[in-house]
Amino acid sequence: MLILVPTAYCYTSHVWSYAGKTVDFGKDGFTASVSDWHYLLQITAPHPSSGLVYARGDYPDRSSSILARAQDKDGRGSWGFRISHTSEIMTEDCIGQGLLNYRWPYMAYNLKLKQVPKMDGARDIV
Amino acid sequence: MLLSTQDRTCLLPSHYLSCLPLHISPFQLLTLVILATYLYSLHLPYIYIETLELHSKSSRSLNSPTLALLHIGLDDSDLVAGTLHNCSFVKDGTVYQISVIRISSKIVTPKKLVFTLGGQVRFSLCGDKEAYKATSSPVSDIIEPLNNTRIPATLPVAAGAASNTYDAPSTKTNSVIFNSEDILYDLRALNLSEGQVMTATCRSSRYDNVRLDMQAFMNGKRMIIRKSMQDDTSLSTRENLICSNGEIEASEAENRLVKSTSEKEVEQRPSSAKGKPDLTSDQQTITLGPGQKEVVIIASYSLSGSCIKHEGLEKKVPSSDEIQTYLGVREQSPQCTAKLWTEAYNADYGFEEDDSTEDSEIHAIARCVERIIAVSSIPADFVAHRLRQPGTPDGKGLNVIRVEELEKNTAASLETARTTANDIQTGSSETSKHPNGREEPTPEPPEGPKPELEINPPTEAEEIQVLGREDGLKDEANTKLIPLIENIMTLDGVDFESML
Repeated sequence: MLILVPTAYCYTSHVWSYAGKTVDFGKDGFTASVSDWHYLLQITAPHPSSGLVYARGDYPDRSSSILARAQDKDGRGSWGFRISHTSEIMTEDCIGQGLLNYRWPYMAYNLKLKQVPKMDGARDIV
Repeated sequence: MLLSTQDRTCLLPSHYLSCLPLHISPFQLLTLVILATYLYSLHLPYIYIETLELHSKSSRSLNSPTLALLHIGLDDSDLVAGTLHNCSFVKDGTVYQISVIRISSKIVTPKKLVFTLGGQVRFSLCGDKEAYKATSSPVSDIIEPLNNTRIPATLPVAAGAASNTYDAPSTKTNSVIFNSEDILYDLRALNLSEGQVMTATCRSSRYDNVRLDMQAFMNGKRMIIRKSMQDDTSLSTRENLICSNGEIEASEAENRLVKSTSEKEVEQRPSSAKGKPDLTSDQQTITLGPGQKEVVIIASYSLSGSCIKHEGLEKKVPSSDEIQTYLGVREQSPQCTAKLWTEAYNADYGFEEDDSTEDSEIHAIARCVERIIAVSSIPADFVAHRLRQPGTPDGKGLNVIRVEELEKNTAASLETARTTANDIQTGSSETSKHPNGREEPTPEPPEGPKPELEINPPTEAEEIQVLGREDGLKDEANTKLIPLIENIMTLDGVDFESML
């Protein structure tokens, strides 16, 4: 049974079609960042000599590259949980997105079967 | 004939047709219009569906009520496979990602759901200029992933779920549908045996042996995380790995991420190594029984190392009650800070609790404050960590080294340090010649301050001295703070170089 949580419990400022920046969350210097599609992009930990140590995907350490990964709908550069495109089920619409207590990101998708076109000679895309 | 036709068509609203080289009587025109309308009505469903698909692909704004209406009109209920709920949080230095897949009853035949966990990961330090240079070269700091799992799904779901789904975004712009039961899974029946932890270790002196651990659970059972073999070049190095204590260390050079797994996977490695890199080749197939309706996948990641005040990944996953309390999704939870924000805001401005007209303001303020508290404020005490001897606990070794550093300095800096410490700690005008400036009930002679200092824990005033006031360490702390701030601003999208 789906229930509607009041805005005070789960809040989002995103307009989902315009992905902006990552959603950062953490505690005591141990942070993580997810994109608007909830792909895990990086985690950090406090480091004694430099302040922070990052674990990121394999891409250049430039702000433009980081922003590009944050706005990528396919989750390139992320290394958390993600549904592969080879599966027969895909995520369709975002039915819920927000921050629990303004801290922890939450996201809900609809899952949909992939429609295989019934044409002769067509390749099986699944 | 032609003239009269032109005169009469001028009376019609569509007299522009007279510009065309056609001879159309009003009756023919009317017939044409009716025919066009009929054809248009015939094509209307197709146009409608095209619009829907465009909407569902391009504009996925939750705030559009028209989108919700359009979706209700589209009947794709035979394609509904379920829902996916994701939630992430950080607890005790470990990042948890919870994914709940609820499976629809509309699926008759088993379907496979392939998901991946992990991927290529690089470590980098904040403000590390060498990382910038290394970006053009092929990156060796890579761990590879991990797992793909097939879930044939044959299960039932409530029929009303799809219609309820789209009501909420249309009624309230900032609202989010949140199924409390989705996150609040039950983990009490976990079978926690010793399993595999995916570990990536950076054995470099520059990185102070930072290690990234990862583990995953599916429906309470630990998932066996396998690597997929991506490149053959690194395989040769992996063959020569030394297996020790469930981890594998490479004898590779510095700055090279060691790929390590458990011993069991080492044995599997030669067989799977020969295949082409294929993400779907190394999968598990799990057949779900008819009683099961959802799949809960918990992945946890943690960075640890000798320099990080964190012991590594917890083998135990927090229970459902702990997670509920920690996330603050219960009404009476002390972590439910959103309720506190709303109450404070409504009390100040005299709003009713249900009045959500000004909610966006409090949301923006609260999110900014929570982000600053949780993310932007990094509790890093650089100097204290640097001075800590390896192998000693927090108190003793740190104190000895700090006092030795203090004694090496000039008398002037000692004087300022002592007075500052006295002002901060007691506020008294004690001007004794005690070299450490510590609040001592019985001042010892200055010949033997070390044994006393080893007993006492460091005070806050000493931290201030060492961090800021002392000359020798001040510059070093500043040179490390600046790239830290620079990197944070770069992450936030601020172009720092243009500001300079």
